[in-house]
Amino acid sequence: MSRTLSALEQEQIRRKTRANWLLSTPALLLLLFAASGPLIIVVIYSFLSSGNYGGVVWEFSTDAWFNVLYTKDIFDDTVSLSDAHLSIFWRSVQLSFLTTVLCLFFGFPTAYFIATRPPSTRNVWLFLITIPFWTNLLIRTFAILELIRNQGVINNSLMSLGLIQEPIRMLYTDFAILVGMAYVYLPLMVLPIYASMERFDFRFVEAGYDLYASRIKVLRRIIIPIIKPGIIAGSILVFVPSLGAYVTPRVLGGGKRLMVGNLIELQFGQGKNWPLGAALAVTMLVIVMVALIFYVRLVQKSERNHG
Amino acid sequence: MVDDTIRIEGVGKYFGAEPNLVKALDNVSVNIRRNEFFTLLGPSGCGKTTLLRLIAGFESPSFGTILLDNKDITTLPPYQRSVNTVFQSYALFPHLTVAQNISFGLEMLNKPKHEINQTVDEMLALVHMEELKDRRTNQISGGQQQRVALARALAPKPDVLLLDEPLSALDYKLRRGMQIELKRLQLETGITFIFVTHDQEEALTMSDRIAVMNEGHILQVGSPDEIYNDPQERFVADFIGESNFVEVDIVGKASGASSSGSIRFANSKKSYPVKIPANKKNDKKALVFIRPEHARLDGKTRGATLTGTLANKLFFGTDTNYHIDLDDGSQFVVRAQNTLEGGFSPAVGDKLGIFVDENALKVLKD
Amino acid sequence: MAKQMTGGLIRKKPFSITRQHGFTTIALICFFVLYAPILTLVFYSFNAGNNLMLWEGFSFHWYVKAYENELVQEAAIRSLIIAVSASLISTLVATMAALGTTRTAKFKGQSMIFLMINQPLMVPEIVTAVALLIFFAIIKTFTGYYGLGYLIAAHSAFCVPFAYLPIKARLDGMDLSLETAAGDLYATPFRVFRRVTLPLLFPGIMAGAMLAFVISLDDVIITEFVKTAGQDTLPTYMLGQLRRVITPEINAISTVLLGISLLVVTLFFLVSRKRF
Repeated sequence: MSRTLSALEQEQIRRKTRANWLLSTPALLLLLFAASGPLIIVVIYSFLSSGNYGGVVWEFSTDAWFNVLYTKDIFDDTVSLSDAHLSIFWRSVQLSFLTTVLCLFFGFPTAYFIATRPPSTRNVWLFLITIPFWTNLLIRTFAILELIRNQGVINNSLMSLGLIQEPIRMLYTDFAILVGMAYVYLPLMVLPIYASMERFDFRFVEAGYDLYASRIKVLRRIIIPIIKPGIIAGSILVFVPSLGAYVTPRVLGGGKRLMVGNLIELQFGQGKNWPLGAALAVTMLVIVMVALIFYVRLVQKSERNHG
Repeated sequence: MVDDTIRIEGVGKYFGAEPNLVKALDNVSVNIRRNEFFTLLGPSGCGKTTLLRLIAGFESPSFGTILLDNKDITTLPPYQRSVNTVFQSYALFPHLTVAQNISFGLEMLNKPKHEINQTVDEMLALVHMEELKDRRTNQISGGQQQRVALARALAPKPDVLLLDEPLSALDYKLRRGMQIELKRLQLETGITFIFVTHDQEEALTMSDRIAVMNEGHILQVGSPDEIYNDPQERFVADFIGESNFVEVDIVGKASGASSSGSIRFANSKKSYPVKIPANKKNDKKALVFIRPEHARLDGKTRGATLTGTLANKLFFGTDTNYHIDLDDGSQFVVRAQNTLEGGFSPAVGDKLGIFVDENALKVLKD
Repeated sequence: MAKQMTGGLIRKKPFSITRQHGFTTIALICFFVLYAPILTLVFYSFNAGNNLMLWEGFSFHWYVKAYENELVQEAAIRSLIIAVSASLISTLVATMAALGTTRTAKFKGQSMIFLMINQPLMVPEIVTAVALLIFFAIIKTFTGYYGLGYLIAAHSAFCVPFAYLPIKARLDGMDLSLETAAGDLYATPFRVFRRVTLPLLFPGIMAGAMLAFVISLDDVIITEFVKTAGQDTLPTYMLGQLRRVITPEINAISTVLLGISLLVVTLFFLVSRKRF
């Protein structure tokens, strides 16, 4: 026997769906105009020729995509892998990965610490971690800049203590970018792990100790596997914006230590090669999407495992 | 002719689609009389709440018709039905005070201000909540929230009041108190109450009539006495109170339209005259149901309806339940009232006889 | 009894179920590291000298200087105009979208709507910034309009998911039977919305608007790419100052911005916890 909805039910469902769409339409139009739609134009631009003074010439060309990976010698037209671009991509991935590891190392114990506070003070700690999350990323980067400058607080203190004779050069190095990114993205690691930890039932830990597990075994065999979704979420939340970082490497890398974000910007500024910038942006987008799909897979897998 | 408030005619509600089709309610028909306390009783998922929601208009039936005072209300939205609901979770508006909650329905009906105030005061008095009328609903206890929910639903003076397991969130003592209170309110207001519960005791003590439901069907409608003492089906007998089921042979049958016949227990020569349901007329075997308190234990086995050994005794204060392993291996429970004198007190392992009068034997339809 | 508690018994620290070695230390270091740089920055904004490292006494000198700086004034006003407009627009459309996508049976295209709304959270800001630069450049040449509209549109768009989340959370946590009850008590759908849904949703809407405001106020990248010359907001003005000698004026502006964010976020916390 096949089931047919009564006309009344069908009409109700139709009306509800139409209302849902009508309500969502303004938001969709806004996003289409000023967020999603323009992404398509970026893809189109990556297949156009570069104008002499910025902008594009409306001629189909794969030069931009060619230039993402290869470089043509200006004298003898020999083609070789573009060291500059590749090394910037590679450095971006490395730095983002290290940032994620650093954030995890500090973020996990912090989330654990907050989650194990008594309920009365827990919200205070949580609030303390949330404030930096909502404060200006540029300002927080400035704060790091002022600390690690040659004449910054750290160097001045070390010198006045007589530990060093001349300032340690930290600014405009990969180290500076790494510290800066870990600093600004740390709350993004703590918050999702805390969200998992908050729901964690410590009776599991009691059961673990009851069954002769040591502290480290309880951590490794019980706590970490159960809150894994939070750890994965935190890692992706740090990794993705790190990869697309622009402000932090610009301020702390001083335009010398570029990341992909700065490389893209360069094409629209001094480089005046919009198609190449568009192609680089699309490349970054693809890498991020791959990371996100990887994340969704991981989450689905761990959800399956926990049934 | 009986005066019906609500008539449910061949109503069904299906959810989802093949192959995951759920028949929450399947072709149900029932009439609910004016001013009666009518209870829909059944286990969770039997369709009782769905039926209630269809009457309230929160959902529309997949097929069938619902009539209120002979008017078809099947497609009317809830705000055009003179039917109010007391929700299981109470659903009191957290942003309004007790009095504002009670006046909400009257305001929506655009009643004049003085009438609203008057009715709200009446309702507050009816549920003894005058003192707390300016409190927010999260500042009062569960029992008080229950009263406000009742007052709010009664204030517009609906034709029918629907109550969706309203007492389930209360503790035992409070629940008993509210049962009496509800019955009083129903008598005072003269409104038809349709009450949904899975608690058989609650249903038996409060209702004028009960409809026992299972798997989207109404199995039996009747007074509490009829439902308890004369269940037609095994499910009804099993769901309400404790029951013993014993398979018997049908030995004597009257011919024609007469429903009388006789049955015999296994390993017994004695036959008992009983009513045989129409659908069992041509069968050789039938299922007989016996309430534990309708059987009697004795040390002698001669002439007993059934015999077995005592496996366990459970003391319940007023009564003791005796669990007996029958000779054929099945279980039988006898309940005996405890007296101060002590009386007959067998020990575990004793061989006992179970005596049942013929009028305590009911042959079930299935 | 008292003797037992204070007396000679050498007791081991009681076993704690939740303890993990070193975690508390790392966490406290973490909190220190999070706040030390910000507090240092705030501290030096009160420096009397024009130097970032040498403390020359307390003064509001740099606040006055920043306040008198016309560029800062203009940027501040521009920042506020954009943030207020963007939070109003994004909250309005996000509220509607949340009403359309929450507490409803799955409908065709629902996941597409989710994806669209959360898109600004997934796509790196630099990519969106580049896309908007290109797209708005085309529109600018076609229309000849160079006003703040582009910045407001861009900010409104990336604020949508931030406004959407608390509103959706509030709706999800809302007892559906409340609206059912209102309908049962003769309220028409419009009056159910007006008298029950909207009042209950209001804290969520406020929270959404506040988040959107803070997010818009803090934005650097998209603003930097979308703005036409002379359309600096406070953050892009500060970024521009990087090329010059940095004075504590930057610290003063930063401190004010931090103060605004802190205020709004605190309000957000209080509002979103409101339970009637």
